[in-house]
Amino acid sequence: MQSLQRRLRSEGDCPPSLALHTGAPGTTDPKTRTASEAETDLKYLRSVFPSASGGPAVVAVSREAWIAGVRPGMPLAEARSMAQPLTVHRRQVQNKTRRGTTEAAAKTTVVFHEWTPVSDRRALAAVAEITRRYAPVVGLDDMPLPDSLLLDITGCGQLFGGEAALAELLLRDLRQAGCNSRIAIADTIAAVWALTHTERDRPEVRRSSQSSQRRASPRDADIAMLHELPIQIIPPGQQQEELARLPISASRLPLKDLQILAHLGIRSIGQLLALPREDLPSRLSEDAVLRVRHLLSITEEFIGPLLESNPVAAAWASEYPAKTFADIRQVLQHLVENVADQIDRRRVACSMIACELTSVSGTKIPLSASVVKPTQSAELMFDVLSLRLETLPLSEPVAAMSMTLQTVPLPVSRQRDLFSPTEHIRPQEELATLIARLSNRLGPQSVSTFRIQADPRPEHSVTLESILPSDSGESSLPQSEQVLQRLTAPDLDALEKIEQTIARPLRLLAAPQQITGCDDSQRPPEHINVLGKVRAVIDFSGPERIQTAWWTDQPCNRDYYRVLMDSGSQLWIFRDLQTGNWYLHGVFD
Amino acid sequence: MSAATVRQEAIQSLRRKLAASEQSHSIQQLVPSGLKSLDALLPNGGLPTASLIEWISEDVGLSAASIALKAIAPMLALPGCLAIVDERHDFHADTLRCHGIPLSRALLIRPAHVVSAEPATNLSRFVRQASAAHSDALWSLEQAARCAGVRVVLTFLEQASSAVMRRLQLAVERSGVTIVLIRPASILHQPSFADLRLHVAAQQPVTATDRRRLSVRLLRSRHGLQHTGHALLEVDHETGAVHSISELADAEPSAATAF
Repeated sequence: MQSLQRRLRSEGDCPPSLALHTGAPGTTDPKTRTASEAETDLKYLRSVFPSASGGPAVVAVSREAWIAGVRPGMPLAEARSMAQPLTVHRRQVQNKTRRGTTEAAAKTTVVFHEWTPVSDRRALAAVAEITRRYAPVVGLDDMPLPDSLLLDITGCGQLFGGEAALAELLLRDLRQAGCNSRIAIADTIAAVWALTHTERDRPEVRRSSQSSQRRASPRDADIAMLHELPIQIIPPGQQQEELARLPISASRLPLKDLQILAHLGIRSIGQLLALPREDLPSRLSEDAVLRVRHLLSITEEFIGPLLESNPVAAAWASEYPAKTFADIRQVLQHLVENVADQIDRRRVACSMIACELTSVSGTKIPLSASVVKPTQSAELMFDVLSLRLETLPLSEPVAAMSMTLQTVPLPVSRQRDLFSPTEHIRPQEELATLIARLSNRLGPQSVSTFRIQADPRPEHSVTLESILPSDSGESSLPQSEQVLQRLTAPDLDALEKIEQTIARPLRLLAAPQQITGCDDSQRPPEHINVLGKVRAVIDFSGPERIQTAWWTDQPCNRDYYRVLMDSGSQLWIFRDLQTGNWYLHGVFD
Repeated sequence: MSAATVRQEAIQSLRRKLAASEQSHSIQQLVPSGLKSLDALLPNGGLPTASLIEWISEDVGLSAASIALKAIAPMLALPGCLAIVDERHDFHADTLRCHGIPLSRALLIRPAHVVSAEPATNLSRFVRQASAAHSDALWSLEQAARCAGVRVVLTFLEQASSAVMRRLQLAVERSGVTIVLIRPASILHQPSFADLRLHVAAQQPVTATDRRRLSVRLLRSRHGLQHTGHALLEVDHETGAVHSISELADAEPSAATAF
């Protein structure tokens, strides 16, 4: 609607009143015939406006057309009869929209235009190009009739002076492009969608910003200045509170489920989330249950990235194929130099490289590599690609190769320490390179950091978190800057915060090894076979009972003992309380 | 003065000059381990950074790696992370907290794991995979050793050729990283490229008490004088914490040659 209005306005003699209508059933736009997304859009629209199933019907109107009496869902013939000839007094319009303004009356007519779903998506994709400098991943929302762009700005705020400053700059760019938009920043897609699709309630926003200033959060200070702009920033931890006050229509539930909920008197998201979760599958559709899980942040949601219209890319093809690894590496180097030159000119940095190798028989072989910190270094890009290439099962010569880069804004190197400007920066740079090299050669899962988990089972007490996203995952780049900072910077406070812990073995066997030959199942065994050597137990201490509830996925009912062997070694064994069997689980190495 | 004594003094004098000469060109710093008896045993009262340190465990389960972690914890007061190359996929990070190392400073590197041998027909494939996994582990170790963003690399290493050890030695001299290798007693007969080679054994006789007593001997020191004697340490059964016992090691230089 906005882009069409802009186009019509630029043609000069067109009034701003505009109504979009569907085509006659069966007369689909040739462009939409193959586009399943567009067909889904149309189907959805006809379910919203049943009148559109029988013939052309109005589906969207501008403010001026609304004042003229044209309404969405109205059959086209009826809308035309109401709107033409039409005299709308400009004063009436202004009185509705802007208080105290008087202008001369003017005549205007409503222009009816056929709506095509593909045009909407194309227009949004064009707007997405404007936003790319703010986020590495930009995508459309996954609703029928998408009207929102989703930007993953994780870790990007600091490049623009904070998330608020980023939002302001983004709003400025969108306005310059003629887009009237709303911006919301929150931790989940469900929250931002709900916030941007609800009429903003200023007093509520101000109140939430005042309460949020009492909490320590990097977003807090930014909020107060934004209350005059169509920007909402929800501090971490306040999402549920903000969502609870929004109407149920902002929950992205399917129409049928919304009707059921309306019948039950559920009006707000807060009421919806207060319903017993175990009852929802019996009352609502599978899609609706998934949306509720999104609202509660139980299920993570990912952005389906939109391809760049003009990506940083390079390609090579030859009738003389590259037959050896040395040849392929040479071609890769040539392509990398090409794309490095492009990103240098565009002043962006590379966060991921995607290549496609085409063999002489036409087989396509994907090859991708990631870096921890966005880089412009051709050397590093070539290095990680070469390491990945070594793991590729190539059986035929390569006849063509293409390379596309995922880019992000150029990171700014910041001095952290006044007197030793490079002391903290260099280790991080070096570590980022190491992690990129290791991850690309061994696989992203092979390089990880640790996170403590509140789970009594020893094998689940610490989880591993990969630093680079896996190939198949659609997740965005993690907050690598913070990870690198945590890994390299000495934190004396952290050392002091380490609490006294119970002794745990340094080596924990992936699968507990059963100890055979126990005569008495109540007492620890007298002899244990440790890596092929039978050792006598001279002392033991315990038990330490570790038990989890029966409804957990892997229930654990164990009595653990620390046993001292005649060699001085110490082992960690347990008795399974259900079977009475003894197992070796760890070695105090 | 006998000829043997004169020769011995000359050798000691040359050794001191050589050590002083090497140290003047080195990027090494000394970091006390915080374990008094161990520091008393070490040539200059601490563990050197930018070095290769071997901890030989007489048997499995003797807490050699725990002692090594306790000893290297003070090094993490310097920038850089602790990289753990875990070829066997059994490192349990919860232990780090027992030795004063925050989990946030640790980076785990786990090359592809070979789970188990399939039927005998696939034995050769299993051997190939195991060999590839070992090669990946050695490659990862060397990469980490060359990275200035890493402060210490810790790994369990059973077999490694002289060429590999020499490459690791060169890597740490260049990058300033400290490599800590936990190795079995079966490699004792092999030549060492390490700056320090320490041997951990249980104090005999083994008795049933609340604390295990362990003895650490210095087998080799590249830059310092050879010490006889040993450091006595004990490990608390409940907390897993490693403590020094007040008995001091004999600091008298030995008559044996260190090189």
